[in-house]
Amino acid sequence: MKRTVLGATAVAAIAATVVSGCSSSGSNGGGSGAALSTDGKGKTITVWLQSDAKTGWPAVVTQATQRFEKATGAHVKIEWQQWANYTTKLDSTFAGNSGIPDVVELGNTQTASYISAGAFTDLTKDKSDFANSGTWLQGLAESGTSPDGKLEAVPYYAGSRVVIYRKDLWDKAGVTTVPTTLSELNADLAKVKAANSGDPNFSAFYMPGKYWYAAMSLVYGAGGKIASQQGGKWVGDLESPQAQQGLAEWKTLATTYSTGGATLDESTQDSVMAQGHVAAILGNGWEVGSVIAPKTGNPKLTKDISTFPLPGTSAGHYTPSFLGGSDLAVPEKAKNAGLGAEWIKYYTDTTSQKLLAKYAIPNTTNLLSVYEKQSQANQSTGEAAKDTWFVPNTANWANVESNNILQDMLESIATGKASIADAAKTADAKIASTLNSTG
Amino acid sequence: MTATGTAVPPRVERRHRVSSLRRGGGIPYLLALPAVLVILLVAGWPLVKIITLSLEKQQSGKYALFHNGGSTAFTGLSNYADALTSSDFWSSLVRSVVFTAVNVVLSVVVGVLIALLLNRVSKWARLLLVAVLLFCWAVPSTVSTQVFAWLFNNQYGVVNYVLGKLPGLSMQGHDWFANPHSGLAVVTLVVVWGAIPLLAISLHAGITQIPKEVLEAARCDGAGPWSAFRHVTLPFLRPLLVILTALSVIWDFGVFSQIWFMRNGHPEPGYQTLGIYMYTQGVSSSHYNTGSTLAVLMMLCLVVVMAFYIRQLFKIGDAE
Repeated sequence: MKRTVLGATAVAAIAATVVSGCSSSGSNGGGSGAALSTDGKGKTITVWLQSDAKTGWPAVVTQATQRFEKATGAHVKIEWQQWANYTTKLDSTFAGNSGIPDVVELGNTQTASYISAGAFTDLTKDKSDFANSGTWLQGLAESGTSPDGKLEAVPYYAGSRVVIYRKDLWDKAGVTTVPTTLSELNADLAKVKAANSGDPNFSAFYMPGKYWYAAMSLVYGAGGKIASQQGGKWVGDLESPQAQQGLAEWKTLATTYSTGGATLDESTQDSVMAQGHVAAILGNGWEVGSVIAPKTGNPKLTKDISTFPLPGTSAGHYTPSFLGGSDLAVPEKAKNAGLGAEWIKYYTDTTSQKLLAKYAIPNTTNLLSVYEKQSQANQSTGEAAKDTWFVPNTANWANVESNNILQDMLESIATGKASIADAAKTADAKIASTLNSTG
Repeated sequence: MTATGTAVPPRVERRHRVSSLRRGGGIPYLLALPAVLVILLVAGWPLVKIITLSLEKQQSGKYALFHNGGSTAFTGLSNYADALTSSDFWSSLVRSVVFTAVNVVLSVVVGVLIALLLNRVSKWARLLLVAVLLFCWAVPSTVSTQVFAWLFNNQYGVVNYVLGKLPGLSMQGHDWFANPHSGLAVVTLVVVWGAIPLLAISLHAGITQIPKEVLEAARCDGAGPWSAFRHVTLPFLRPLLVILTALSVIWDFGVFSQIWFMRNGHPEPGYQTLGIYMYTQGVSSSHYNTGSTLAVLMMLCLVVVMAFYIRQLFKIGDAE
């Protein structure tokens, strides 16, 4: 299997060397930037979007595409993608010279490595053509900008995580108000746990052992960081007392209040909650829908599910949420770069983003109120989106994720294989060597 | 394998028709040409590319990959030196070897036992068994892995439930995957489960070829079931067993998807066999030079087994 993947890359790489002679003569060679283009008669552009849009907001895609097709005369081919092994697919595609899409969606933690590799068309001089570019969500805008300030990817949407909980179970345990600090949360969870002590599968707060977005939120909430730059070199910061305090908070949730998830990641937590033995999870706003989904979830829970932002160490502060999200970029080798950028313009304009705001956090602070008005869950996630953290924005960060450094650290803490201090020390060393790697 | 078969010109016939060969020129070679070309294209070219990649410098960024067709400066064997001095490489190699040994021994032993059973049961039972085996064989490894992952789920898995019913055993919430050894044991179950159908059916076919007279003669001479098996059945099956074992070694050494999906795409260090290690170091991290180096090393390990396998093939061919 690996041989095939490598083989495909190899073949693609060869194709690249053979054809590279003519690629520089294109309209967008060498990062000079592409002007938006509306001349699309008889042309077809290819757009790679993750299936989140297909299942979540297909209508938004359709209306933007229709307006774009009407204005330019071009035809749009949407190709739905999966997050699993997505970077491998991007690598082998960008290494070649054919079959390159005109627009790609990327996770905001993935953009840095592609921007530094010069994979995208520079959109700096078109920035004002994109709607709301002055009020883009900061975390998204930063992830789409190169270290020297060029716009390489346009913010698409964001997500933040909140506590999704079973109001009925909390009420039954005598907890009727939402906690405002982490210590209140712990006290409340103790009551919920005690009230359900007869159920061996019960989790007062289901916290999978590899859930690094949750753990790092608590690290940032306690004043810690994952890594920082000192004298031009990256240093892992998880050994700091603040970070260890955050990890200790996480460990309490994962070991005292959670059952059965020590070696799992968060990808199955919605279906675990739907089983009915879980009183709370930390999840994206849309995960409420997945917990109560008719076929894959448990619709009976509909009226019992509610949300609140994860409280912080003191009242009035939330634990910062990870600002996950997606950006849209035009590959440097795209055949119709100008049209690709034009499609992004339609898909991220106020009309599209207003529609998108029903399902996800829009790319601009201007429309946050539209989003928050939609539902109780949106209200919480919108609140949580105001205080967020983001991963170290550097080209090598993607390898910290792909090497599972944080996940392995957390699992060893959750299963009791290593103490917090030892696990953090191991992870810091790996983070530093990965981020500082020059090859 | 079929391609290699057609690529070898029929030697015996050639000897008999020297004159026709002279007149007909290289027709057999011409006929073999497409197969040779296909092999060169799909196996040879990637192989050359992988070896080249393994000799070139690994850069952390992807600039060279996207702009220079992936080529970077030649660094000789330094990638190999890096790989061979990494303790992670050696622990993955040892894990792979042990994992392969356990899986091969289990699959072959169980395969032989089921093949013997197939030969003893009545016709309808044999048909039923073969049908079931074929169904097992038809299940893709991704699906069987998922099914086993559910069976061994720590909270709702049927294995913990059933074991918990045994007196004095509390399996409530027991996590099979917290310890990589017990986790890999579960993976072994999936691999062996998937390997048995082919082994059992091939060996059963082999057993049916043993002349009945020989077994009867052995029995007349007072051989019990064990010594009949040991001195008659086993020697007859030996060529088949050698080939099946060699193939199993190759398959089990390369086991990937069962571990990958059992750990939901994030195998912990304790689950990293050489294939997984290569994938996470090479492909997941976009470090294709490092990955190619590991791939070449992995191939070298298998060349040893392949050499043995091919030698046996020739030996068996000569004997016939």
